[in-house]
Amino acid sequence: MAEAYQGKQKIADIEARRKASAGFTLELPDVTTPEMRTEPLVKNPAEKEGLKALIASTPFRIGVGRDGPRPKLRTVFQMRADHAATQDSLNHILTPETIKKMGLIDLGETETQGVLETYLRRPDLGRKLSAEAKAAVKEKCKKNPTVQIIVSNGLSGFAIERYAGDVLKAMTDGLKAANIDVGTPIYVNRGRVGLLNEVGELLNAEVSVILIGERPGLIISDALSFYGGYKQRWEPLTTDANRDNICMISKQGKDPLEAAAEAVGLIKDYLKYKTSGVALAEAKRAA
Amino acid sequence: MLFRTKLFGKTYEFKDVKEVLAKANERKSGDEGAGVAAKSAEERVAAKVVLAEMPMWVLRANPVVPYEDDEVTRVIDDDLDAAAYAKVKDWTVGELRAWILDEKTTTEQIQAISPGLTGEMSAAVAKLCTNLDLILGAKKIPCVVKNTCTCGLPGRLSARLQPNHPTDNVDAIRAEIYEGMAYVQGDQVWGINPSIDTVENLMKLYDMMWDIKQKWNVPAGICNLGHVSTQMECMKKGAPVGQVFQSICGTEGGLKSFGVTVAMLDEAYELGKKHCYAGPNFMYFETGEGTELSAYSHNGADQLTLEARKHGLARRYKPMGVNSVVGFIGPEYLYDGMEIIRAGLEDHFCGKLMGIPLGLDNCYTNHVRADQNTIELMMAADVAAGCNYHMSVPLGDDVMLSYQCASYHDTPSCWYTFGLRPAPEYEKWAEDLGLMKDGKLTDKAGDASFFLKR
Repeated sequence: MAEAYQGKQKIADIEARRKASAGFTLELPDVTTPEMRTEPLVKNPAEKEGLKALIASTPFRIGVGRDGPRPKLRTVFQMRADHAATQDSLNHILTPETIKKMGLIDLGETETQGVLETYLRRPDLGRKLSAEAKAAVKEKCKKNPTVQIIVSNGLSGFAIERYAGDVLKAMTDGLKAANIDVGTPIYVNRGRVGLLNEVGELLNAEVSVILIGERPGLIISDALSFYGGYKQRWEPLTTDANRDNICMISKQGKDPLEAAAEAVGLIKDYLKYKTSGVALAEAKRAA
Repeated sequence: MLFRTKLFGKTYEFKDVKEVLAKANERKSGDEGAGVAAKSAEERVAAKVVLAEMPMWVLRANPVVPYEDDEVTRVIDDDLDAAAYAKVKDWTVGELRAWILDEKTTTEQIQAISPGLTGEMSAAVAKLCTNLDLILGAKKIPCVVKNTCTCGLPGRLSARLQPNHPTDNVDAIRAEIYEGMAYVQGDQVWGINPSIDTVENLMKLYDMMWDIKQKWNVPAGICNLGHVSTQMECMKKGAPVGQVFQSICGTEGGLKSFGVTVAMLDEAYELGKKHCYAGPNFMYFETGEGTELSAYSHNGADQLTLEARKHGLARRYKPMGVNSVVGFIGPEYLYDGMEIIRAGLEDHFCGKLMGIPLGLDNCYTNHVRADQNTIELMMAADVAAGCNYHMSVPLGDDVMLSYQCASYHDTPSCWYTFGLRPAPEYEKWAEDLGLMKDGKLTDKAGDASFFLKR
């Protein structure tokens, strides 16, 4: 083999250039702050103050200017950062330690076997427990509970990591204070809301509830949802019409403790009226 | 009936036309969820081999929902042009594809057979086409329509200005319209997706848009994408309506899930003829693969065939625009960027083949395996195919509908890249204001505060 190309420059010059760059620093501000997001980027606007007012009037990304017909890099970076947050949240898998620390029994997988592609393509498989998880439910969970709690990352692991612990504790405390029997709280990876039926049927739970990560949005990428219902079963089939939802639980959305209090209120109603969802609203109107 | 072939010595048999159509479809998660997709990649190819030899008359005789059971089937079959159908009835699907792609086949010749095609026929051709077949084929079939602007002309690319807001705040929507006008967006239609679908709210939004249109003399067709029945009430109250909108489905059951019937669309069309301030085209429809399945009314048919049936229904109303909102309903229907791009090209091809003015809402949600780069690539592909228009939203981020699509910046980017311009009436408006010159944005363009002057 021929010898590698040796170059024409003196090594001393190369070193001098490298040395000169050693003191160069880039210390940059956070482009995702509200101030950075609302600063007008249009070159020579017709009305500078007017443009600021237009920007302030809407959550949509206007007043952003252009490089030729393309967006400027600051707005590109803001969009990319917001989308990145949704992807990191979607991809986040909780560690066994985190699950344990929340006081949850880790049941493992649904029929999607933890494969994200299967989970996204086939929502029906996310509503069923794997054979191993089914066996674990029967072995580790209290039968015939008044309230069965399920937790799952769903489409947003950050939602669980950040808020499920607080909601779970406040909800459990609230139910216990009202002398309502709570079963063994469980964690399932990549579940769907339909797990309410699966677990409700397996354990013969009177009420089943699930805390689950929502589809992440560009503004709020870590929202948690509560779904609950009375006698959730495959047979006779219960659907979203038989359930209630408390959504957008997040630092930027609904306060976790407030959400927990609302959830406890709903569960008390389920037990009082022996129904949930649309039928509960009707029963309460009639009463 | 018998549909059978061999591949690598293995026999594949299909029980009916619907099964051949479904299994010949490119892979889509929605078809898998519905249980109608090919069970293996090889079976998919076998179904395509069979579909290629199927004549048009067999497809007409076997719609995916029977004539007796479904008003959408009845509309499409009753509206077929007998002379146009007579020309193609003995052609196989493979022959129709070859004829469309043939250098000697002209635009006028394709337009002459269009009224003789059903959704099943156009979908069948699309299933045999590669992506570049779909681009080349559709490019040969421009569809020119006119509301306030003449759209779909070769050399032109239009945009639907889509200024939304989570609570329909009038000031916010006005600001978004100003920003869109500053990028010369909106020649196809100014269309708001209202979050509150009441007559009172829609009247307020019509008035706001009309006010801007009059103040700046914009050739804009204004539209609120509420339920068609709400828009009809608004027309009766004298609202300034440029275009009448409704989402449509490829089956009667799907339409019902939207609270719509053919009779209701007929009524809206007649009312629009009297009330819309622009025309002759004034109906605006949105579609999207997977809507029937999500309403449990797909009747065992695949997404693409059902989509093409919507084009057959839309054709009845000589629409100004029909766009597939491709990618909106999530990865359980179209899994990733490739499935979305493919579906968009298919929808566009099928619509153009059936003679309607297809646009595309190239979009994605955050749990689909796609991002803004996907949407830009897709836009380049379907602009190459001659797509009439796209959605246009500030930076593509629709905070109200919680999805991302094409942006105010993307349309001019495609004008420059592909040597295109907005519709002639809109271009003239922008030139008169000094926002465009020689097909390019000027230094004044891109500044929403320009419109604070009046």
